[in-house]
Amino acid sequence: MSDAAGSKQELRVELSLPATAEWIALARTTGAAIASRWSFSYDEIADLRLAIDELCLALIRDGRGERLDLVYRLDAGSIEVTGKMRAGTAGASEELTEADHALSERGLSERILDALVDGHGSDADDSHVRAWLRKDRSTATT
Amino acid sequence: MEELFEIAESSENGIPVLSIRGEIDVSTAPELRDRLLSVAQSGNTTAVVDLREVTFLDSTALGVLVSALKRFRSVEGDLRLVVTGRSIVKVLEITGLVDVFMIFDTLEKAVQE
Repeated sequence: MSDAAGSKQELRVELSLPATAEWIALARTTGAAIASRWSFSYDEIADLRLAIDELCLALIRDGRGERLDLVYRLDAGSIEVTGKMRAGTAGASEELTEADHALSERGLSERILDALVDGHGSDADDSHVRAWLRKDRSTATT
Repeated sequence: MEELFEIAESSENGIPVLSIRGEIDVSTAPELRDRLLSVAQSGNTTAVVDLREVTFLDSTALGVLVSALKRFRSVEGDLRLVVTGRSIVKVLEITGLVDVFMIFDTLEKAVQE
């Protein structure tokens, strides 16, 4: 992979992992390695590592599949990560007060994503749950 | 994937201290939860978690720390954190947990009564 920072070149990397906790580290490390080659700053890479971790956690929490499929898409100024898993059976959601939600893992995860990336979202249908995030590169490159 | 993760337990001023090294994520947080639970079940009402050697921390790790904090505070105790790493401070700031935990920049300050 050549350094394409600043060019119009696009890059797409796909990663399919066992949907278990110990493999999430590979998902975030892959994202960090790609962003590093794309001239993201140290702080942006650290943000992206954590955001990808949170994206994977959300999918594993809400999905029920054996595989977690990730696609990393890069263009000149941003990286977008999309994850997909087979949908699980919706369980009864726990009723939490606003204060309790803020301190729950899900609430903490939402705050982290809100703060660290430039866009994120999720959706689901009968067969799959999906989540995505986008991190823009703010560092000027030559 | 095996990541470096170690928990060393010590005591300072009679307060148990868990010093953690490495990454705390969904695969390593359960060990931290078990160690904190063990500390609490041993009759301690206050403990210190030293995060100065932690290089990564996610929402599962924060969830473990918040649960432990609630447990210690339910017995009029506390869970104190020692944090210096910029990335760890940032996570605590963006989640608002800097206003929830007692956070110190040295272990000496954290174990003062």
